Amino acid sequence: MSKIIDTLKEKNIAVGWLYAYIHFITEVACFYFLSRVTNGSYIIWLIPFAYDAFAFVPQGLIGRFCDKYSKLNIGIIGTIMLVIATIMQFAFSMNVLANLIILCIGNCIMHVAGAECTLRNSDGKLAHSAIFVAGGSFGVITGKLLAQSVMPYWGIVLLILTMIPFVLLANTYYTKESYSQDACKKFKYANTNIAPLAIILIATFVVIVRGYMGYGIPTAWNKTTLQTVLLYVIMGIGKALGGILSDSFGIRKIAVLSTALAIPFLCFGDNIMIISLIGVMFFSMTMAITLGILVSVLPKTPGLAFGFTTIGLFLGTAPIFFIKIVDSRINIGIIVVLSLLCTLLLSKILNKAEK
Amino acid sequence: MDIYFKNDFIKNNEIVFYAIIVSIIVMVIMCFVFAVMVLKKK
Repeated sequence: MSKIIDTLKEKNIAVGWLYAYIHFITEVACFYFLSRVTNGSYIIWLIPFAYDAFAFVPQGLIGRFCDKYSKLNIGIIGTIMLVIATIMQFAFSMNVLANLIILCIGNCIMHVAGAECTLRNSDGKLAHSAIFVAGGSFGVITGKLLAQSVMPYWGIVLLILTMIPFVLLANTYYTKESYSQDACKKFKYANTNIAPLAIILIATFVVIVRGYMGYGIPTAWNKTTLQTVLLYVIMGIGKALGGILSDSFGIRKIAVLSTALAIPFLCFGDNIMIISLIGVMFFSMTMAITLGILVSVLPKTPGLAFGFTTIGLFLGTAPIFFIKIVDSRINIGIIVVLSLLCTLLLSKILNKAEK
Repeated sequence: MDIYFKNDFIKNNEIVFYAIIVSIIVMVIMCFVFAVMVLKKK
């Protein structure tokens, strides 16, 4: 326990909490928009699919741009884009696809800003970026719930604007060193005996599996709004714990244990909420771990490295739009095989010298 | 059949759908090209 408390007292950990709030509000704005546009039903399949594509995939390219111009305060630009998209959609009812693209680019920019700031100021630790990433899960469900409430669009605009002081405050943590190309050189989690490109492909594959699991795991127990809220909250807690526990007890131990332990809980938790939630929490822990591995391979371009995790998330969730697996036995079989494969792959690509 | 494809998703939205697919492929390839360039620079 003292190790975890020490991790939570790490230098610059406040950057993680600041960007957790920013990430939370970003997702609230995006899922309020999405849920209102699709009216809570998924009749318009194209809108959520286009959102996933343009909010996740371009992050690598935007990240690469920000790696080159690291002094640019892109968080403010992203905030403005989210405000514009919300106002154009709900106040002026302009073209929904055009508004969606603006919203997605705003979303991308906010994510990249968070990744750059937390990775560059973490001194090679994972907790900062894990806490930042965790904020999003709470935002997704809050945005969906607000869209079903009487919350007016201008309330969301005001919420988005509250991000500005947080972005400015987070920026004060940057130093001359954290702006430099060597800011992430302390990330040494990848196995140096394996080709870097192979590590990128394997880490992206693990993220694809995690993305698929997020939607593909059997959750027959999930019938009420409160249970859906719990599912997202546990996902967020799992993502944050992945980074915090890795810093406290060693990335290799946590990566292998969390992936392997998740299997029985995910398989037998179809009807029992608590068992399923434990499995979801364990599997969500891999988020910070895969990001740490990718940054270790691409330390001079943390934005680009972060982009590979979001590409993986998109590729993992994309099949859900086209394929539905009805037989739960097939689904469980896929979960077991993929989880075992991820456990094996993570143990191979992680630096053996790490705890 | 235990697995089925949701073809109705693509119907009526073919042009936009394929435009999205092409953009995704281009963006993913560009990310990998950038990664290779960065790795070669090391």
